[in-house]
Amino acid sequence: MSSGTILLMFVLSGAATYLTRRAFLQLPSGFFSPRLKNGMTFIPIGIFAALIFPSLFLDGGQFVFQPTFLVASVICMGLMILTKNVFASFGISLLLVVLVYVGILPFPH
Amino acid sequence: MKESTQSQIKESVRQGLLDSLPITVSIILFGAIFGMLSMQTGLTAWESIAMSLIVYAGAAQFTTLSMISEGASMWAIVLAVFLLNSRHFLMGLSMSPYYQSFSRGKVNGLAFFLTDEQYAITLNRFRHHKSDIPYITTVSLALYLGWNGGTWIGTMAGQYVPDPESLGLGFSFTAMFLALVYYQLTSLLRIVTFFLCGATAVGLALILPSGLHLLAAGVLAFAIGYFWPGQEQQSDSDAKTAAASDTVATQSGSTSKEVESA
Repeated sequence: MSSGTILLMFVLSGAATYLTRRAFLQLPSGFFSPRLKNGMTFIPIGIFAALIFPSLFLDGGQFVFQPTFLVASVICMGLMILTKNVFASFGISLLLVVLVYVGILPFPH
Repeated sequence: MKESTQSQIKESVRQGLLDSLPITVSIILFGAIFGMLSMQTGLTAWESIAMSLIVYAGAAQFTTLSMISEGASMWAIVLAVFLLNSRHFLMGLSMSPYYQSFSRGKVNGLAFFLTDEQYAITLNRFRHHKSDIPYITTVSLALYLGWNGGTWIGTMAGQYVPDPESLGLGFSFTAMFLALVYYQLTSLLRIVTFFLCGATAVGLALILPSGLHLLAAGVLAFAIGYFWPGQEQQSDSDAKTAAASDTVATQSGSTSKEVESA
């Protein structure tokens, strides 16, 4: 992407973000049905799932098995359940992957 | 009378700074992580800082980096940002009663700063105090400056990180998204939705152009939430769940507790 395209993308992304924040900021709370509200709260789950799973199971358009990433993912989620601390979960799971990749921790990857 | 108003403003500013300080520290750290990752993605320092200044949405910015590295189109990225930020519709709706007395111009300005963290802090405050603009402005600016300052620090540090692939740093996005999605998985239905959407995304990513599997997963998740509303607690708790879920510093332990207590 050229710098111009990237800047345009930021402006459009910023506008899209602003729209979501401003749209209902002065509306009465009963404006939408509970069903619609509930559906909207689910959207980020789908987006995150679509970001996480392909990065674990696909590489270059092929299905792959990456044991280091899978184990680190389980550890990351486990740490979130135990500590509810994003820093610790992100940092420790990423550190384990780095240690495997540089050869300090023996594990297939 | 004038002195009384000025002292009220000072008190609101002081309280706003105090309330936002712990989360601002978290935000600086996450901004630094974002800045480092953006350098690994190939953005320049100025492009990274420009994204934080213009978009100002943590999870959406991490998503943008991930999609840029996968070669997604500009429109796919913008659409993903919009879908990911759709939770702000609900947050805005739940904050609406506290913004009714403000002029349209002021609401237009403050809306830019309605992040998850700002929502959590201000909602907590307005449950016990009258809503006021100096307080919202102080919290908003503290968080905004923290995020952008953190991004700048990260871009400076990112220049010294060697080849990311050889270190396995490609996993950093996955780790961040896993940590971020944790707060969304508050019921069995949501967990099932997560795995179902993940499997669907993997299948579709093999056959669809880059980025579209993201849209499909978002639509599928919406449909599940729409057609099975009985499985979920609704009303105000939806917005709280959304606030506790996504962007960046809200996921630090202290903020989550604030949201839960709100």
